[in-house]
Amino acid sequence: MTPLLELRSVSRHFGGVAALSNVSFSLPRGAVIGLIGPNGSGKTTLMNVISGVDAPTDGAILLDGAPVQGLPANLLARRGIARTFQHIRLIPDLTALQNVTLALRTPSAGALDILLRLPRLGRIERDRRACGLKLLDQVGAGQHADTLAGGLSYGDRRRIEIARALASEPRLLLLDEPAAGMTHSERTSLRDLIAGLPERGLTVLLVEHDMDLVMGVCDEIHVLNQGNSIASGKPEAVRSDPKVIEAYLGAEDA
Amino acid sequence: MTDLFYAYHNVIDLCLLNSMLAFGCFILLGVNLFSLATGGLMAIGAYLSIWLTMQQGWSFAPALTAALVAASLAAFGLGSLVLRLRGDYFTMATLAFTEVVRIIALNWDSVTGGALGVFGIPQLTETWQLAGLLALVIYLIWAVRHSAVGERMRAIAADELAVSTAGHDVARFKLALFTASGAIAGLGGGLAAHLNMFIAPGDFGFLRSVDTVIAPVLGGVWNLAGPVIGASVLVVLPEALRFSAQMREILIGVTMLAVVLFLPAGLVGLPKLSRRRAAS
Ligand SMILES: Nc1ncnc2c1ncn2[C@@H]1O[C@H](COP(=O)(O)OP(=O)(O)OP(=O)(O)O)[C@@H](O)[C@H]1O
Ligand SMILES: [Mg+2]
Repeated sequence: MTPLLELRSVSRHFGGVAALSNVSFSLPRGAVIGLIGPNGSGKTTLMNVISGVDAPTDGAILLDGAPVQGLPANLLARRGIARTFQHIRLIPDLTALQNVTLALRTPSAGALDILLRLPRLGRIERDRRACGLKLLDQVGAGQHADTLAGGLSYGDRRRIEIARALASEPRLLLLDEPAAGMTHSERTSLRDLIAGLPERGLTVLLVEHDMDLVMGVCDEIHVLNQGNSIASGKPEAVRSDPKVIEAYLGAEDA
Repeated sequence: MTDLFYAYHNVIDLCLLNSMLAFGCFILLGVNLFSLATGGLMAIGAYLSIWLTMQQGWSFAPALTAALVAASLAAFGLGSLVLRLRGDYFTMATLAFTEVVRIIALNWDSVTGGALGVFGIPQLTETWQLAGLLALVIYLIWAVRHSAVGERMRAIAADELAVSTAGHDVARFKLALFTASGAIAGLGGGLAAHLNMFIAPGDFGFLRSVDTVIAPVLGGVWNLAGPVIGASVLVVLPEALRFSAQMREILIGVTMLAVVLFLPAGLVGLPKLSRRRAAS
């Protein structure tokens, strides 16, 4: 079976800086794959090129075996790639629920429904509201549905961003440091949430500095250092890999 | 009351017309687009409609419809080209469009009368038509804003990247808005041309574009009352104070600066501001 996503020698250069050099790996369907590495190693850059926020300088990205590198973000979202952001990008002056329904794939009202306020409009918007509420409940933020996103805590905003990503019914979910700023108990429920995603048909690429979370939830881990892939494998193997330990220690020395 | 209406009905017509035009810019400002294409788009609607009513014998309603369609198409074409430009460059390109249309109008004597303009236009525009069409425009914008599409508009204003990663084609959305604003400008152009007996290319230039985009900024970009208040203030104030045209431009410039600096929400933000002052 072709993997859901395959990276073939993906590179991204910013002027002279090689944020990614020849990164290759694939994401098997239904897996939770970790992506770790010290600060500035290229993790976010990789998420950006996969999600179409940025384009690779070189290399190929295959979704279901078909090349998708360089496609715009909205098309990739339609084709099943959703993401969250390291620096949360909720719309502060929309409510939590409105942020989630923004990404729903369920049919939205047509121009005539809206302009003539046909009875259908009410039904469609009720359906969308119900879908959004369900997603907010799943991530544990249902109680904040009608609060403006800008006023919520870091942990809540992170969860709502996950709900928004899920709203587009993705097959691949990219999570960029979802646990950052979360309390211990929030991290525990985040872990349960992520662990449950493959059952719903999702494949997950998780970037995270919280090693307990990564080790606990990932089937496989890839390690980046200065844009290069330096190790891959099962969590236990990666954890004890000397190259990985050196990369992290080197980063701490610096 | 009726006497008052007759004494001031010119001012009332202008308030209604300029409010309507201001809504064309209002919907663009809502997604951070500062367009100066209004003058050019209006000119297209104005000249087409008077050509149809005066030379082709069309009646007013179909001529207005044609003006609306033609300006929408022009906006669609222009938007396809210039919407990819960022910020100031977009504004410059829309201004260039208005200038190009004006220069064409100056030289296309058979339709526009060149620099001398067109005289003896039938005065077909009535106050009730202006009021009705303004109400229609306000209703349509209200309906859109109170729907999922309105939420998407606010989201685009705040963070385009977040909206596109949520699966929406932001460029297409902006093009649709730009086309709609072209429709309003074209309709407004047709109405403006049949309001006075005379038009000339200078009526649809840079100043007209600035005036129209300033009205919602002055009144408030986030409130449906904003464009009406802004446009009306810009019509009534110079009239009441009997300013010269130059004085009016200076006044507009200074007011603009003051609003941008001190009242980011426009005049509709005043009550809130004074409440806050009173509270502190
Ligand atoms: N838009 C950009 N322009 C120039 N350089 C960039 C840009 N984006 C990223 N970089 C550089 O690319 C490298 C990788 O950055 P990236 O954000 O992908 O790292 P990261 O692994 O996500 O780090 P962190 O753990 O701190 O989030 C860094 O050296 C960074 O400075
Ligand atoms: Mg990062």
